[in-house]
Amino acid sequence: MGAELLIVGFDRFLMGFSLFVHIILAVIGVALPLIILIAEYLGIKYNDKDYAVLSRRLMVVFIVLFAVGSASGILVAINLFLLWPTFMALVGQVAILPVYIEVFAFFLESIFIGIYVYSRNKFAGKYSHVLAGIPIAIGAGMSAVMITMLNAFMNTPVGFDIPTYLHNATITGVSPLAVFASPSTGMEVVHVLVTSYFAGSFIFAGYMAYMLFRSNDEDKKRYYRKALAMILAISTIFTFASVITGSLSISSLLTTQPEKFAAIEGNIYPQAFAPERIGGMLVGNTLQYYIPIPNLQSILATGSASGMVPGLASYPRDTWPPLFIHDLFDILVFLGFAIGGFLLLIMLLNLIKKDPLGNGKVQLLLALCGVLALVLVETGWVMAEVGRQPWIIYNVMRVSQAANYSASVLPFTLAILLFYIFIMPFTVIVLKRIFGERPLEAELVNK
Amino acid sequence: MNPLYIINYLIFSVFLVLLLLEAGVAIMMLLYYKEYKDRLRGYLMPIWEVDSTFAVFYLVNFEATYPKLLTFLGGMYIIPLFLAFLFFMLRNAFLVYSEYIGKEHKRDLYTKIYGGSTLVVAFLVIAVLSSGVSGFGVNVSEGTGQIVSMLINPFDISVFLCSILISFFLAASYFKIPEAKTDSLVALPLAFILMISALFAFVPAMFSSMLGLIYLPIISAALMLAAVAFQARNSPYAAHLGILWLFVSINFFGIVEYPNFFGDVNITTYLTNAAAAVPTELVTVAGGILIAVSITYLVYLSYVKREGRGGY
Repeated sequence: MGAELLIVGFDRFLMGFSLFVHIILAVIGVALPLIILIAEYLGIKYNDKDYAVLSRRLMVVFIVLFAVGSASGILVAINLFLLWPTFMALVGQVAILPVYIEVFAFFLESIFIGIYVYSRNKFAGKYSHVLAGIPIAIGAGMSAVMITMLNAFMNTPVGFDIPTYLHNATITGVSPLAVFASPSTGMEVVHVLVTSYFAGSFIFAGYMAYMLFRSNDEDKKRYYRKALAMILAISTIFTFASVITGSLSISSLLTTQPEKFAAIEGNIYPQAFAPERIGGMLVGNTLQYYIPIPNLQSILATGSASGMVPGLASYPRDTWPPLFIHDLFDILVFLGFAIGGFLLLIMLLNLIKKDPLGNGKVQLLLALCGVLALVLVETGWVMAEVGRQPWIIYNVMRVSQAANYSASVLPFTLAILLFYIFIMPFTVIVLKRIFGERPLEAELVNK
Repeated sequence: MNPLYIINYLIFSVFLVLLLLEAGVAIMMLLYYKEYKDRLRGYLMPIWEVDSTFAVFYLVNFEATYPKLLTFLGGMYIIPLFLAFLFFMLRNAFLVYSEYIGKEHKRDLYTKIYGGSTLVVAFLVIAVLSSGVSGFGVNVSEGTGQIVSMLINPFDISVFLCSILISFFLAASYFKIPEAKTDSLVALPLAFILMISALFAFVPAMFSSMLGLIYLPIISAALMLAAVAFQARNSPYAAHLGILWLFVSINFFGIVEYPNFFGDVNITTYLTNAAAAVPTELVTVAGGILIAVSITYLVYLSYVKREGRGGY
């Protein structure tokens, strides 16, 4: 039994680690095509070669990351059925359609990358090349949508006779289209898409801000300044959208996953007039040392100060998620509001013609925001997934029931770990070398 | 024959053709890179992504078609599939690195790493596929696999050698590499004989089924000889005929194999439920049309359309 627990632990670790790395590539993969297309469009519309150079250089980044990301995505797909065969056997019979459609979205993206990159000189219309890039952005977005639908199925399973399955593990009453409209699908899809654009674009906004801070050359300054302004505009829209959808998706947990909601909010007992608890430590069965904001939790979750919110004590102890997700939620809220507030300040300064983007400290803070945006997305993902524990499919299948108990998993944990440790820095080194051989100065001069 | 099986096998056959084509490019890159690098890279660059994506297409279609098998496959093939995908990632990464790196010696090195990784992937994938035919190295009822007996058994080695010979012919004819022409003329008939002999010696039940459908290997042999004859005359159609022969032969193999996989396991007992089957196939058809249209557009732009004056 001890060895089995160890193997399940390794299964979890391997899946978690693979997804942790893959998420970075995925959010970049979703947001970058949009940035590239907008840059190319602006370049043509205003006959501005800085934007043209920007779109071309970002496309090189995109292709390198797409190659690594698609391989990493395949690894995640393989992990799913090798590490969680019982889970995938159920998914295969009930909820495979989104996964399957995702393949076609990926296909669309791959083929149109080929068209966009290798047929640049084949288009006659002014905007034809930009139009040829749109399926890349659609394919990337659709991939995110479809995979999120599977995740929504894991959170709120539908599409088969659950009581019968729980009784004798037989899958009956299958309705394969139900997976597209589970109770959590809509909210999850919107939130994941919006946060992917937020984090993916902020990484590049942060990079451009940092490079602007470091630049002495006027041409480079102009280039990075334009790139920053353009990408930051995208990031700002999706930052505010992320805050709104994040808040709504936490509230939706009230009905769809009350244990997760209770753990996130640090509610041990159900109550009305519930305060929003900031920080705190679990002592015995009570959360202590937190800062309360009276009634706010009830108001946000139910729309009324007297609204009742769930508590973990209403559920068996062995179905409680780990309570550290409450701290993760605090981190999320803090970072979300910090970044949002900072962007509001920049907008305000912009309105009164203070030129915030020209300020070195603002540039450095924006670079920091690029990193924090990634921290935000990873934290949100950990909170959402750990919050569903001990279930892999909520109230249907526990993680321990889904796992592969073959001892062969163990050496591969190490291999995958080493591989990711090698491939990610190596990709960055290669990108640096590629751009070392194609200096920006030369591209701006030869534009 | 079950339509779910037919569709899944058709997708598999396209995937295998692409894999062997790319393995052929990898072989030529390792053997004749300096002399023919532009020709070889010229093929790879627009197409390599399609190869990768077809691998995923097949994998997910397999998951949708045989979900009940997944519980067993996780235990049986965990080692070769994990290894294959590690090398697959290396293959992707180094191909793209080689594309954008400027220094020639680095580009050559990365290309060779790409070629080596691709061949390792092909070896591991073929080991899994051949054990899916013969059942060597796996126990389906227990869901366990023995990596050594899976990789090192006479049937698997025969199938791998056969695959290498086919890949060699395809690449030699496709890229018109004079140094490889004579060997390629021998390669294809040798591959054909090796495959038939391996079935006879190691999977006798399938060999018996094949005798019951004797017209299939006869058609395959005729197509193979035609491809060799075209290659002997340096005809540009040799490569096309070789690819057609491979595609047709893989599907003939699937007809002979049905319904017994892993030696003696009836694959139809693992098919998905009726409710999921219809939407799955509708998605396959709709997605297949989307892919076909997109690839046609890619080919049209790459090879047919003249340069335009749009954009910047």
